[in-house]
Amino acid sequence: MNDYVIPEKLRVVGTTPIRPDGHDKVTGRAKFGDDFHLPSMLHGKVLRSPHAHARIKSIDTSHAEAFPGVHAVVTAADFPKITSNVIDAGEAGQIDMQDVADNCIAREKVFYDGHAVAAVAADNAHIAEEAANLIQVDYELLDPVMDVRSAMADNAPVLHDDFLPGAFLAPTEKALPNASKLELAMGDVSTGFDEADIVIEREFTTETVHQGYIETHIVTAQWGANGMVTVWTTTQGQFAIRDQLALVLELPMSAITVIPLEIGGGFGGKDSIYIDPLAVVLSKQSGRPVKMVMNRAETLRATGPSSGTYIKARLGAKTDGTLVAAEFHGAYEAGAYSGGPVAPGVSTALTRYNIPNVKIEGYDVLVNKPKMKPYRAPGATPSNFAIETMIDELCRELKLDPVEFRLRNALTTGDRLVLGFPCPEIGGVEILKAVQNHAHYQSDIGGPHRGRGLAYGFWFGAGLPSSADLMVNSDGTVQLCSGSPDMSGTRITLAMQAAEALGIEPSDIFPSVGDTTSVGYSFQTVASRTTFATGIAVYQAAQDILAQMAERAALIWQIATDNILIDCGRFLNETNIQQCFTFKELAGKLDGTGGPIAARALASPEGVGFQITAHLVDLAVDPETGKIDILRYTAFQDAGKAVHPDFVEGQIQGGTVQGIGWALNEEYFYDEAGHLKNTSLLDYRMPTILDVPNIEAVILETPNPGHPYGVRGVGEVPIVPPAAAIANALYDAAGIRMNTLPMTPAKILDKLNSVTH
Amino acid sequence: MRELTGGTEKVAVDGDNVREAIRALESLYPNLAGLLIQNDQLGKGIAVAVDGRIVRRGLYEPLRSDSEIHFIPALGAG
Repeated sequence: MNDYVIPEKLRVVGTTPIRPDGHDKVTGRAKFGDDFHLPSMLHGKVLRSPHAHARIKSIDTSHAEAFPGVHAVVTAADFPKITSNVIDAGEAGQIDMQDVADNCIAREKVFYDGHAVAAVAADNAHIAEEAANLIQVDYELLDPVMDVRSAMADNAPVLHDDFLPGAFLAPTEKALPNASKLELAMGDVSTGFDEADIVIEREFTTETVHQGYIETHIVTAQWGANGMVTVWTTTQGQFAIRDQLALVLELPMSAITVIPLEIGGGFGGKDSIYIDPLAVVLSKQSGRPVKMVMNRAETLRATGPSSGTYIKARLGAKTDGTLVAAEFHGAYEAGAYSGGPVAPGVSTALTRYNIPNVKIEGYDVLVNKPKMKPYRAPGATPSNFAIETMIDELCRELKLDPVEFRLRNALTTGDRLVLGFPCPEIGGVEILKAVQNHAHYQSDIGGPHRGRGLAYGFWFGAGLPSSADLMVNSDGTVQLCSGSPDMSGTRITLAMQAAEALGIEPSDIFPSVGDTTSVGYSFQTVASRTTFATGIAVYQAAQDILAQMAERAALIWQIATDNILIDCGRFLNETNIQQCFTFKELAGKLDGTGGPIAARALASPEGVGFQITAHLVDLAVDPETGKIDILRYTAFQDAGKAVHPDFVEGQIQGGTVQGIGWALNEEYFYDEAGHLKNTSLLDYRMPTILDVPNIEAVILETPNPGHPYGVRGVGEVPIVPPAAAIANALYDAAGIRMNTLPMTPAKILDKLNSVTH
Repeated sequence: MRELTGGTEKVAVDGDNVREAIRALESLYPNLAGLLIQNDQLGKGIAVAVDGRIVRRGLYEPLRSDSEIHFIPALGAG
């Protein structure tokens, strides 16, 4: 695949027009999941397991079925046993659809507190909930296993007797009863550590956290009289929902239309089905549309959190600060079914440094918690927390400046990654120099109990398939339809790329998100990929539009198309410089020259630009309470080319705030029996606007040659370094090293007291 | 993977695409091909990078005579 020649000057990309969906969103007119209603619609509710691990001996639904106002009751017996169970998810690997189906409704065993067991559709949600509670389930209780080290221990309770490891190139036998293993290596770590002047080895633990999207999972389904199914849902990927529904219900994909509504946050957690197949089958049985709304407790108990981890790492360096060897062992919770974020988590652990000798082991560990789902740079925050705090420790031991240390070891373009291949264009050195030269880094921290911390972070991102349709209207406006749900302003960032390519104003582009019958296939809005990958589809469709319009101009002027010069929205006759059409003028002549023009492009780009960032934080710690106050926060990030700098800034700030929550507050509390105890946002404590200062975003631009305007994804990497940066600042402030997340006031106070006494 | 190649990090083989290259590996390392190709597609959890890019065409990605192939974990994202 060839690199693009990126224009030196861009007219639209890099500006900050108003997003077209903004007014409707701030005035409450935009349609989110719960705003959707159909005539004669029923309401569904789920009966969930009160046990973390149990065998289902029997289910009696008779009382629920007889309850007045109930129209349908379903259990796993109403769903097909899947025959074709593994689907290819591109760069994301493969998905076992039987696991996906069993996660939606338990078949023989329940694997976590909150696992769905049955569902009811009734005249209203209250009747449905009351009837669901009349369903009698006889369980045989089994011992739960709630953390990775217990699950990997000898004689641990086994979750799946038929579990086959999903490990990378593992032999077909199980690595451990509940775990798959992957390994990566380069060089010879034994020799590397022998060459080191200083070696440190540390252990870390992090807790399970949730993506914390404010809108919960909401779906409405209608089984049509002709067997066609329509689903309205809040999702990161309408095609993913359609495909997964088709596979678990054994329906043709074309028989299902999924219409994406606006999405109130996803962060990786809304990429797959939960209540969707239940709503579809309830609709089939009742003959009426069924709406299902998960409440907050259900969302926390039963939808994808991100893994808790156990990490053990070892770093070796020379006295001049050159890293010579690294070992990283990371055990990541997979939850109830295999396939957690271990691969990206361990693959990014060291990738930003050029270390010649590396050995990495990763374990994907089954535990009695919900199936882990991606969460913004999945797996990278815990591994970054471990390595970046160890780097800080090395800097202090060796009395080296933390930026200079990182500059000495920074991965640069062409260096070999631990994955083996050379690193594409990357602006890590530029990021670190920007930190060094920034007023924040040069300022005096001031005051007692205050400290400053730095962390450096990396994320791969992805390409994957995207589609885009463009249609030119006779007034010169252009309709843009993509298959990518808009989570972060991508309607406007796609419209801007179309406007740039077509040579018109972004206000003349009207972007929309299509359903599964109105636009070509697109992978989910995940992996920081939409502005990059769908942007390339838009660019390609725009090139097609320009070519078609050039043909029309040539037809009008009766010259060869080769004689049409296209220049910034103008079509010029090279043989007669007096002849020129603006885009709008030519659009007005389409009807009489062959009819309207439209173009569709499907792109699956491979030139992914890696994401690199550094975070600098100042904080104060109260020695009497252990409470941390963030005083100043600056995030430096390479956007390749910031299509809409305000939205890049928003992504950086949003990801940073989520990282601060992961660092300081957020964690799942389970009791010994495996019951989740903090099932509200009062007890699952996410940061609010009162907890964080203004986060200054410093955007750098090292163009990605894999995109026509140099774009890199920006959404994921901001969540990677905050925990480590805060831990390093805490050490600077109070002289204590935290090796566990979250760093709650209680833990900090314990550590302060243990140092004092 | 090095365990399956007896510690060898780099192997040169002929092939017009990734599938052919894997088949060429089969004669050198009989256990390797069965793990890289399962059910006529790349094995579970595996992605392939050709000349520095993680490629979408998997087994069918064309190769040049000097192409570099790396088998890596499928990464996924949020």
